[in-house]
Amino acid sequence: MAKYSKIDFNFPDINRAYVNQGGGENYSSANTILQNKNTVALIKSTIGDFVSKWSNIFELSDEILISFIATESTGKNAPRNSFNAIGYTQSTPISVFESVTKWDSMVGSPLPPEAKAILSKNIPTWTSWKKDVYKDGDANYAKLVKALPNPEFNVAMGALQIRWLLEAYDKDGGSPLNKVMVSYNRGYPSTKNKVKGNITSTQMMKLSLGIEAKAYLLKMLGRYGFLSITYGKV
Amino acid sequence: MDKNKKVFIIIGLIGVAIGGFVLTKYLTRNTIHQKFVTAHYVEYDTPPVVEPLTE
Repeated sequence: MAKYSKIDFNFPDINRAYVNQGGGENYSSANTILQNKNTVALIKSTIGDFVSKWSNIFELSDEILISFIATESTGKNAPRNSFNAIGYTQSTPISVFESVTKWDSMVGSPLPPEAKAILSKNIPTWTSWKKDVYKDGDANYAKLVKALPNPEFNVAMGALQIRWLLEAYDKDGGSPLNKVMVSYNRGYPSTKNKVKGNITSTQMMKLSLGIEAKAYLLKMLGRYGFLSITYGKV
Repeated sequence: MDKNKKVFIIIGLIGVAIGGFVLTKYLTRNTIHQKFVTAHYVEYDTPPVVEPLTE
């Protein structure tokens, strides 16, 4: 029996192909589509087992989780960048702290036992985390930075955040997957009030969300986006 | 009811069942049902807009 809200969405949801600002990356070109298909294949072959395991635990689909990973890291276990994003899911310590410490209040049920187990295995002190108090330099922050390059832990934390965001927006009405994408990219606190109610992806493209967040939507939900690729429609 | 009538009724019911199944499959051909997810594939009849992304 499902524990969380059901995911129901349209894809592609925007009849637009993404071209980056320099014009060099055209998501409707055959070459880019092929590259993106290769990215999806790479993710399946390297971390496909982790994706299936954690998408099932957090009641997502493999296609959704793979699309997030492809958009975030193109399937590479990337080292910490200047935004403190780490690994396949480009999780940041702040977003992990937020989704773990506010899980119970937002979701209305405890973290799944598998999530507790992998947190305990990688960061035994996680049960002492408090809400939103850790910054770079803090010992808890450092432990999470050290743990996030672990592939399975990284995929698990990415899936956890996606489900947390889905539940956060489920109370808000409308199809939340597009809101989750934008929030995953630019942060929930600064996004939640901009995308209130039943808002379509096309309407979102007209909001002031920043180029990167809009590109995120297009990479996922655009005509040749990763969701079209993972669901085999491109 | 004679035997022929019964046969026609049975054939008719089977036809309705098969027709209903085929029609349902056709109408939901772009809907993907998964364990926790329902995804609807949208077919666009115009080419996509392709231009640089602006704020």
